[in-house]
Order: sequence, then C-alpha cells, then structure tokens
Amino acid sequence: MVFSSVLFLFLFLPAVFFAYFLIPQKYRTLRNLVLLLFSLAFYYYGEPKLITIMLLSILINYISGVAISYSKKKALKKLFLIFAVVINIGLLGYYKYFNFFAENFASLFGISINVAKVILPIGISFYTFQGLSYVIDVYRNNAPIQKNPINIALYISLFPQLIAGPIVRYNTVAEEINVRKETASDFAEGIKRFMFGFSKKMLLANTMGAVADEIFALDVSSLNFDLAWLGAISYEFQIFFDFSGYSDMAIGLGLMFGFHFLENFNFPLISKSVTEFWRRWHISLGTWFRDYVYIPLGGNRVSPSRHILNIFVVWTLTGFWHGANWTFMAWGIYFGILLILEKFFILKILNNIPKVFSHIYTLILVTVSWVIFRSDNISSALIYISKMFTINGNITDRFLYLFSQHKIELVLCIIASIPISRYIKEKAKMLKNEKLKTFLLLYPVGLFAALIFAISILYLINSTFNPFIYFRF
Amino acid sequence: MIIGFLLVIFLVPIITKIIPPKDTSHFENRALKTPPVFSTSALLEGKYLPEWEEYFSDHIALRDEMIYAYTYLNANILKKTVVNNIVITKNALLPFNSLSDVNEKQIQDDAIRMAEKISKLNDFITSNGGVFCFIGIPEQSSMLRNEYPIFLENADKKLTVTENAFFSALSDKGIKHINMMDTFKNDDYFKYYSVTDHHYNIHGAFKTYERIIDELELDNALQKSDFNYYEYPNNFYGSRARIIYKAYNMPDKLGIYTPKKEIEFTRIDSGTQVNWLFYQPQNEKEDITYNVYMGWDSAETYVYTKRPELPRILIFGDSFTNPLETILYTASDTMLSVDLRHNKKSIYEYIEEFKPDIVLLVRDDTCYTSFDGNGSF
Repeated sequence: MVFSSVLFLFLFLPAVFFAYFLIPQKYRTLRNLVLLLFSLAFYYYGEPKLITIMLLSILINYISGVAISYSKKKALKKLFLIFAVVINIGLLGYYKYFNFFAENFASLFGISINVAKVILPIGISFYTFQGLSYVIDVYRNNAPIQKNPINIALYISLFPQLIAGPIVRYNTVAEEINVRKETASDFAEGIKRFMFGFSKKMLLANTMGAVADEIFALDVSSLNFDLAWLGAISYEFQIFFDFSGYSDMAIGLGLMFGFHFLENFNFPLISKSVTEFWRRWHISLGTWFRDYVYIPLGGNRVSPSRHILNIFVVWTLTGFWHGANWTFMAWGIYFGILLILEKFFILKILNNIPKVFSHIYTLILVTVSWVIFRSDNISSALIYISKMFTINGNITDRFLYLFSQHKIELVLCIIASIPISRYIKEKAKMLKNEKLKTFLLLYPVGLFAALIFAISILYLINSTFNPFIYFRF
Repeated sequence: MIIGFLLVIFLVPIITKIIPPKDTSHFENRALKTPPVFSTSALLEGKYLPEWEEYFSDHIALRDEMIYAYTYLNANILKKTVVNNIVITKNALLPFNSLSDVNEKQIQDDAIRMAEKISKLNDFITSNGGVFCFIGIPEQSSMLRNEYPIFLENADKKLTVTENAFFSALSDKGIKHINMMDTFKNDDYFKYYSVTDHHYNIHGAFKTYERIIDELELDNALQKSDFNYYEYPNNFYGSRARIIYKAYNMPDKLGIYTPKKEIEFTRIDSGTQVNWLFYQPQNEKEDITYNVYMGWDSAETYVYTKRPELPRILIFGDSFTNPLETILYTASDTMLSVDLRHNKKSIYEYIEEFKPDIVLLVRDDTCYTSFDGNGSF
C-alpha cells in the first residue's frame, strides 16, 4: 500500500484513526498495539508472504537488544551485537543482493547458474537499518533497552516510515513510544505536512516521472541534448518530490500519532556544494552511515589517506544500499570522489566565488548523478551524459511537446524547491501588526495546503500513473 | 483543518458505500471493476487486496465529477495541449499519436494481403450476380491532420503510405473503389467532419452517398434536392469530447437528411423491429451523440422499403456506415447492414442468403490494412 492511493486515504487512514483515538490516551499500551496491528496490516497488504522476514528481523533485534542489555561481559555484548549485525545484513544481503552477485559471478567466470529469482521484500533496506540502529544504540548505551516486544515491533514496523523512511533512530522515538501526547496542534501540523507531501507526490513527482520515463525509454544513442537535459532534470524533480513528499507524509502521519520524526530533506536543490547537498538530501541515511560506518572507521580523525578511504567506503556502500546494480555503486562512488575533491580542494574555491556559480556547479553535478542513478547500466549512463554535453542546433519536436505540456509543472517544481514558505514566515514574524502577523502565520499556508491537497485528490482519482520509486529499497 | 480533513477522509468512503455502484462508465466507455472474489491463494499472492484498490477507485463517490474537475483544470486553466490523450487544437479535438517508426514494407505487404482478400470477396460477389465497391473514408484525425501542432505526431506519413499502398493494390486487382479523401481534400473538408468526434458528419456521409450513386450509376437514387436537412439544436458531444468529460467547450452540432417524400420502411435489428432510423432526444437540453444515426452498431440491420425496382444493397463496416445508412436505404429495395465485429456469421454467408445486387465495404483509413473486426471477412 502507498500513501498516495485511494485505499490508504479513504479506508486505511480513517480506520486507523477511528480505532486508535477511540482508546483513551491513558491506555498507551493499547494504543501502541492498535498502531502495531494496523502497521502490520499495512505491510501485509503489499507483502503477504514476506512479512515473515520483517517479523523475523524484529524478533532478532529484540532478542539481541535484551541479550546485550543483560550481558555483563563486554565480549558477550559484542558477540550479540555481531550476531544482530550479521543476521540483519545477511537478510538484506540475501534478499537484495543475492541475484546480483550470482549473475555477476556467473558472468565473470563464464558459467551458467540457474538460481530462482529472490524477491525483494518491500522496505527491507529501511527496516533492517532501523533495527540495526536500535541494537547498536543499545550496545553503545545511547538508548535504553526496550523490554516490551510490542514497542520494538512498533518502532520497526510503524507504517508512516516503514516502506520508505525516513530511517528513524531508536533514540529519536524511544521516549515517545512509551510516553507521548497526541495534541490537536500536532495533529493539525501533521495534516498540513501530510497534505504538502501528498501534493508533491501527485502533482509534481508523478508528472515529472512521466516525462522522465518517456525520455529514458528512448534509444539513448539517438537522444538530442535538449531531451537529455529535460529527462535528467525531470528525473531529478521526480525523485526529489517523490522521496521528500513521502518523507513529508511520513513525518505528518507521525505527528498525528504523537511522534516527532527528524527532517529528512532540507531543500537540497539550493545547495552550493555537493557537501552541502548531502547535508540536505536524505538526511536520515547520511547520518546513519556517518554514525554507524564512517565514525567507527575512524571518520576524519585518521591520516589523510585513511580518511579518503573511509569516505570512499561509506559512499560505495551508500550507493549500493540504493540498489543491486553497478549503476548505484557508480553513483555512490561518483559522490564519494566529489566529496573528497571538495573536502581537499574545491570547497576553498567555492567559498570564494559568487554563490550563483557554486549553485550552478552543484546543480550540474547533482543532475548528472541522477542520470547514473536512473540508467539501466553504466554504458547507457555514459552515453546519456555525453548527449547532455553534445550541443547541436536542433530542438526536437518531442522536447517541444514535453516542455509545452509540462512547463507549468516545471516552474512549480523550481518554486517548490526553494524555501519560500520559510521566507514568508520569517518576514511575517517581523511584522509589527499583530493581527496581520497572526493571520499570515496561521492561514495562508493551511489554506494553500488544503487547496493543493484537493487538486491532488483529483489527480489521484484520474491517475493511471502512480509509481513510487523508493519502493524497491 | 482537522475537522475538514477528517470529514473528507471519513465521508468519502461512507458516501461511496451508500450510493449504489455503477456497472459501466459512460465517459470511459468501459465496464467498472466488480468486487474481487476472495481466495486464499489470491490473498497469499498479494493479489486480493490490491484488487480492492482498483474496485474502490472505480466506484469512489463523485468519481466522474472529480475526473471532470481534473480534466477541466488541465484543459481550461493549465491549458495543456494534450489532456487524457486528446489533443486540444483551436478547431478540433484530435487523438494523441505516439511517435513511432513507419514500417513501409509491412504496410505494403498488408495492403497487398488485404487487396487479395477483397479480391476473393469480389469474385464471390460477382459469381453471385452482384457488384462490389470498397469505400474508403478518412477518419477525422486523418482528414484534419494539419490541425495538429507542429511538434506533435499527426501520423501523416503512416496514413499517406497506407492510403497509397492500399488503393494501388486495389487498382492492381481491378477492384472498384472510392477514396473519399480525393473528394474531401479538394473541397472545404472541415464542413464534412465533426470537430469532437472521430467520424465524419452527415454532410460527409451525404457526399459519400453521392459518390456511391455516381460510381455505381444508380440513376433512380434520390438527389440532394430530394432531401431535407435538419440540424438538432442539442449539443453534440463526440467521442473525443466524451474522453475529456465534455470539459472543453468546442461547439459541435449534428444534422440529419430525410427524404422530402417519406419512404415507408421496416427496420429489423437482429430479429427485433425498430421503428426509427434516428434517435430522437427527449428535449433540446439532452446532449446527443453519434448514436443518433441508427442508434447503435448492430450485428445486422435490415431496412425493407418494398420497392423491388431498386437494388438490394448489403453494406458492411464499422460505425462509419451508420449515417450513410440513413441516406442509402432510400436507394434500395432492401438494405442490409452488417457489422462483423458483433457477428458470428461470415459475410460470405450473408451474401449467399441475401443475394445482394450491390455490396459495399466501408472502412476508415486508419483500418485499411487491419485484419480485425470488419477486416476479418
């Protein structure tokens, strides 16, 4: 099930609200149980067979957490930690990467291997990382042990962030799982956030996705530079609004149930360096790799060569986390190299040039990266990128059609990439007229959210095109 | 904000449950989903629950109204060129053609194969004492292909290659044929076509009738001066307008030709008597469709006029025959209209039984080399 679906919006959501809020707030355990059951039902909708893998993951993480917490000896704690890591990574490795490795092994040695295709459970990349985050935090004493298995299950399977993040750290919600208050203001804020996310997905991501899909489906060798850029930019907008929209919906839904998830996107397309971009894009993933891979490897408190290696390892893994294809790994390595170059050379230059140039520099590099990410293989990606930088005088009919058809959405995408509402709020706060200040802070955003949500529902009902990209992670 | 949001998400499913479900969508021209049937295997394979998504989407309250609003927004406010795969031009609604390569060799081969099929049919008709004529009529988007914006595919190459190959193949086989493109393009062709439907209009049908009686030398057939023309005051929404939920204002009208001197007829559609040739709307406010002409596509329609001095005419083809039939019957003793898409009998069986003097095959130019439907004789 996805959030941007009729069934979720008009059946699942009212049902979970009804069942959850029917129970008085003081019965926290019961409310958590209801939320857990609905979360499991949400997952079961899409994975009736492989829900067992998620349940196994929950069980392993719960047992490991308890074992680590009650072990007195450090060596034993470490053993249980290793156990949890091996199982979690093992599950992820098998379901996500087995076929990839088998095919590449066969290709490398020129042999034929007949293996049954392993089906990737929805959301496995997210829930295994969440589970690992819990166990590691317990091991490090960064989070208290959770003795109630229902609460661990709830933390890992909570439907707002289950299939597409953000990757919620256990210590972010540890307290709120046991003690939280669902307030009207949080609920209202959650609704607004959900509406914005829903609208991003339906109005912007889906439209840009249709453009990107059409262009990427063309024979790459026959691409003209105009279409190549339009395709790359469209995909960039698609993935941004799809993923950030989903994160908004997750954060909004979390708020409605009293959870305060951390932000996952912070207007990454206004970045003036790749370094800055990765502080603003998929923040939960970046910080996860920083805290659980980069820092344990030594981070930047090592020799320069080791530092470079650490960055390289983290970014290779980051790319690989996104999918079992060489393109994802290449994408990760691409960013690893750029980050290394920025750290040691380029940032100094960027800090001394007008911001507009550093912004253009960043946009070009990031846009090119999405071509690698989107392409089926490395050679297609390289050909595509070469087309982007091979300028001839022609503008193709297809470009004219796609651009004229979607020019308004393209403009809206640009506007939505900029923190305009934040700017308006900051200006409104400086107003001396209190009534006007209150009005501007309260109403326009809410009304706008309601309007675009209503339009989004029209698009939902009319849609025949409603894929969700991060479903395969 | 809270109340509004909760009202929407709670009321929609409640209202959906209360209102009786529809079987079909008039606008989408398809059957709507039925409730999925439960089975353990379907549940475990993850098919059962998603089917409820499809069912609920099809039957959600105010579905048509929401799709109308979406279409209106895109057509009139966002002013998109293409909405629901309909190209909105200044003068007509046209279908969106995806870009594709034209396989000229394939078209040539198909044209020859089709001409061979028609030749075989022609021989059979001739051996049964009849005369055959193929009538080719440009489909609306073909005739109005110059209305497409310059950057959109108007299928010109494919249509031109097909037209040339097909009629050349017919000529090679010595088959009598009429290509209405030749007539329309040398005239003010807009007046012969609907701007919101994929068909020609009654003037196009009448022009076709005139070509037929001229080609087949039907000297006793009525001329234009023998007919009255009447235009319905009702709004006409063609097939393309329906796809965009009538959300874009492009006025279109429907007319009919009736003989000044009434010709008595008996009409039998697949064994059922029907007393009219034109559907009459209840009042001026009722929107009308192409179904005004003969009402519907029927497997077989007999129109008896009891004038044995006139020929027996068998006409078969798609819905392009419908307005033509409302005029052509005047030139026949008995007119039999057959639509093979809805038929189990073959055209050969009809010819053997009916023994027509004239057999007309009417196809639009997007189907000249199609072996489906009325090309499957």
